[in-house]
Amino acid sequence: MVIWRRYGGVVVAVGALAIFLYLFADTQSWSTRARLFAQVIVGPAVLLAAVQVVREGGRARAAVLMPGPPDAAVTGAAAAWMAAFFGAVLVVGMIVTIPVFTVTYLRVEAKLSWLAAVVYAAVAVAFVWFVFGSLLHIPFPKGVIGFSPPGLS
Amino acid sequence: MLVDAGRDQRMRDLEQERGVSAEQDERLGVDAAGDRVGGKEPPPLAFRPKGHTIRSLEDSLGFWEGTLDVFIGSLGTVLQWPAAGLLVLGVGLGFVVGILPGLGGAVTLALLLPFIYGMDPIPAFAFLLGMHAVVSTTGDITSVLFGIPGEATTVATILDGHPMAQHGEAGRALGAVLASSMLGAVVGAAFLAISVPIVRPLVLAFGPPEFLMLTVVGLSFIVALSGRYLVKGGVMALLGYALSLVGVDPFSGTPRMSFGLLYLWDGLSIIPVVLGLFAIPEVLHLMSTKGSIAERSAPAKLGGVMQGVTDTFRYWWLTVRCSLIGVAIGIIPGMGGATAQFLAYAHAQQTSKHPEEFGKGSIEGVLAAGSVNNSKEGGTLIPTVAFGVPGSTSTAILLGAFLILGLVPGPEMLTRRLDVTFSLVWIIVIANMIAVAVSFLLLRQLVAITFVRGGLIVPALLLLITIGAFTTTNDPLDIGVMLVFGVVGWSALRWGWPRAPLLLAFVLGAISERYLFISTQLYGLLWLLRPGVIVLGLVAILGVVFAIRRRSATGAGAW
Amino acid sequence: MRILTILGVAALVATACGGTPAATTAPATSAVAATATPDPVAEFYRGKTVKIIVGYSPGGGYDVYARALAARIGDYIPGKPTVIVENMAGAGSMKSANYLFTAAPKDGTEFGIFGRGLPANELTGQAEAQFKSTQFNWVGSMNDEVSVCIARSDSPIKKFEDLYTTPMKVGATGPDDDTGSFPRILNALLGTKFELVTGYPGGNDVNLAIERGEVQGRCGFSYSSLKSTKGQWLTDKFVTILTQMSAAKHAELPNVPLVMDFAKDSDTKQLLLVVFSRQAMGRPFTLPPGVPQARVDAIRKAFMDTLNDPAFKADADKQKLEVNPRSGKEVEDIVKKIFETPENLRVKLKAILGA
Repeated sequence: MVIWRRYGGVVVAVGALAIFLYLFADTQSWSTRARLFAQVIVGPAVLLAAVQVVREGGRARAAVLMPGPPDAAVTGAAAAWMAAFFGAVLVVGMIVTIPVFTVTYLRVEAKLSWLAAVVYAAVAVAFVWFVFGSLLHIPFPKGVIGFSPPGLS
Repeated sequence: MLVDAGRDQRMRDLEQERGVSAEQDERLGVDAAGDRVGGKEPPPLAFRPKGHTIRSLEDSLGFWEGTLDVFIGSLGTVLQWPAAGLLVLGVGLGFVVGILPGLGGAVTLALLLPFIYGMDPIPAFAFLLGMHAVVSTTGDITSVLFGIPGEATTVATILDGHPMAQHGEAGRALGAVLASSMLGAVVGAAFLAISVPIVRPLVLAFGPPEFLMLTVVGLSFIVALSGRYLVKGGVMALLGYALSLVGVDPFSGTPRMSFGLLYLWDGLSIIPVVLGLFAIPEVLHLMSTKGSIAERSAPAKLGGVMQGVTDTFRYWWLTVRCSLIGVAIGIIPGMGGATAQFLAYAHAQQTSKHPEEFGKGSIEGVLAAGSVNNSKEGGTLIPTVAFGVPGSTSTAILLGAFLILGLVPGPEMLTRRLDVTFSLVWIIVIANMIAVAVSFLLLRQLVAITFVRGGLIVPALLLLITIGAFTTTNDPLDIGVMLVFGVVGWSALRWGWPRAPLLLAFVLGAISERYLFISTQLYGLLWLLRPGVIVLGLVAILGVVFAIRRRSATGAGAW
Repeated sequence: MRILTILGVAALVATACGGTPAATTAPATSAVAATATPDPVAEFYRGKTVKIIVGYSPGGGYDVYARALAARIGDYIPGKPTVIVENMAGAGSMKSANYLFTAAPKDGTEFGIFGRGLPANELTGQAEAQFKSTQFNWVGSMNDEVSVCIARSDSPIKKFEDLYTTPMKVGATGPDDDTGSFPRILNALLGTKFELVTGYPGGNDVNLAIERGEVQGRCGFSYSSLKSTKGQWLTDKFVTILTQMSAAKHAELPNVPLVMDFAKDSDTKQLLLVVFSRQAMGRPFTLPPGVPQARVDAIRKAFMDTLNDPAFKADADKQKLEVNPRSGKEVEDIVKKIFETPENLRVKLKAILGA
């Protein structure tokens, strides 16, 4: 983690530089008109990003550490929860994810009682079902292997 | 509620009178537009109750008197059943939509559009515009309390509003945001109303070169928005610019940076981008801190609300200036509220005596952001009503409402259907009055949420932002885009890269490219010599020079 | 207690949203005699929800037509299903066309509307077009749109022939949109001198540019929307209609020359027909391929019955929608004809549009 605190800034700056270089590469296949504007900005962009990479590099060499998060493990856990939520939405669909995630998260992380967690989840599902399914007819993230219950598209 | 019958009768008479004269008037308007090529034109008056050109002072008085009658009469119509009921319903919806992060005003407008089939124009607008006029007001509340934008137009409110909430000053920030929202809404609506006679020449005076230069002026604010380090700000702005290029280009039809995905042909939508940049990092932060949003255990009492209201009037001139920025940006097609907020915020910072406080909880920053996103509502309606050219995404959808209702935006809205135009003014004002009043009543409960354990609101927030992203185009990739920008936003926050320049350039990039190309196609390089272009160019240059000098003078930032 | 606050907010949402006037969209219960004999199609649709997929955002022209249809057609489909509209905007409606062809259920519960020009995109071999226009089960078109070229009356262009000698600036939203591709095609096939100014954010911005006088006209303006949005341009003679582009003249424009009349040889004429015959299917609805024929027939019939319903006509009048229905069979024939284009002309067209 210390490595990350030391070199993270460099990585981010290099990331920005990489995006600009990709832009430059991509413009080569565009028509003249389409790339004109991009080419005007890509020069300064690469330059500025490179300057920043050098500065961040200097900071890293001088072993300047970014203040770390209060607890890296906690941040990691939070990111994992979030990844699980969005992963589930994209794979099994929203209508399954909401109740499962809500109950699990509230039980495990928020230490809520079973009853409260289930009521919370039920309200969330009912809200989604009623407002978006029956009233507004909005399609829902079905997920790759998700199913759509009657009343929700 | 009670409107005297006499007034109604007078309105009907006026209506008929105008029906006869309307054609004449409209032709005049168009002819005048045609003359512009030659240079001089008589200022076309939009509405002449007597059906003649104004020749004398008496005629002129008659014009204003007639207009005033329609103006007051339309208030009556708005307050009548069913418009009044629908207005309240719309405000209720807008209140909730604004507060809920993710779900945005534009998307909601689109969802509500089908409901207006068969309605009369004024009730329909009371419903739609009533909803939309308040989303920025209550969206500000979410921005202050959670640091998550309730709307794409309330991002700037976060920059200072949320730090205030974290210091336990949520009450003061909310008081300021609500009072300035109200003031902003009134300024925007008033501008819409008084612009009626001059709106057509006003909008016609600006061509693509001037629009282009206005975006350049907007971009010059990046210096002020760059936070401590100018290079980082520049990189973020250029990144925003690069991202604005995504999609099929409008000049040769080349798909740019689309990775072969049809989804990216239309470019990136602002909602998933904003949610990713600002909401995802904040939710992550909430998940990883065990405490509540208000980190300092300040008393849960609702102190400072009145102080916030007083602040609004103490800085009244700033609030009005920022409101006017909102109107001005609103008028320019394509710029919209997402831009206006940052320009007003940057303006407030540049003119402040304490620029170093910005980003840490400056009340001036809160006031700027609070007022501007409400005043732009009146501004964006000006080109919509007068020309059918939408000033923002939301007004583009409202334009659909005109179509459904059988109304024709254009001169007709300033003559025969002036009552509808004026009703829009009243709707904005009344809707905000209701929303602000209700907000003040509910403030205690709202502030209490910031003292709730963060973990408890996480599932609700995740649900809402997912829906918010997905409703943009109903594509799972909307969620994907949000997540990608979530990573960008989190990294930016973590390593001190300012996010505002990225968003500003992202919005301005695409339209500045468009207007640059149109200008060159039309005039070659001669567009550079237009007086408006030169003036605006000087404004931009002076703005940058001033901002840089100020940075070094106040020590507010480094390179 | 804190939980209650949160639940309270959620409940507020539910009640607030629940109060919307849902009744206004409920299909009117106008009498359509129910058949006494058990009808498998009616059995299928009873209690189901039929979706109309619109390839554009809400509030646009295609969307307004689709919603006007959706409000009434439920009564005419056997079994009276609920009909809802779903917007699937993207890539100039290509996304929705691809969806209808590949991913949409093939049981007749979904049909859709997308850009009238998409079959031509397929014809010229655009890689992203993943559909076969001739395999769609075309339901019909709500209007045959006549597209026109207009010029400001104070410009030197007084009639179409002037365009052979005098250049004219026309505003466009993009090179492949109607406003961009039509002038390009006319330049290539007829030798007109349109100068394209492209990149305007929308059709209304082009109109504003005409009013400002920075461009002199627009080529590719559906006559019905010209009438409804800028009708007074015509009454004031602010603009002149130079030509009309469609397979046949609009009833209200007997004296405006048809673009085909300017063709000098039969190849040119046929190419113009290929491009502009799409106008006859101006608001085209289609079912995905592979839907059981009985249901296709039922939807086609319901479509025409709806458009002839006086109540529907009253709705359309109120919204100033022009309605000139074309049956599914007619649309099918138009599409077929487009794809009968000989290879050499196809190549030529591709060269023009790809330029």
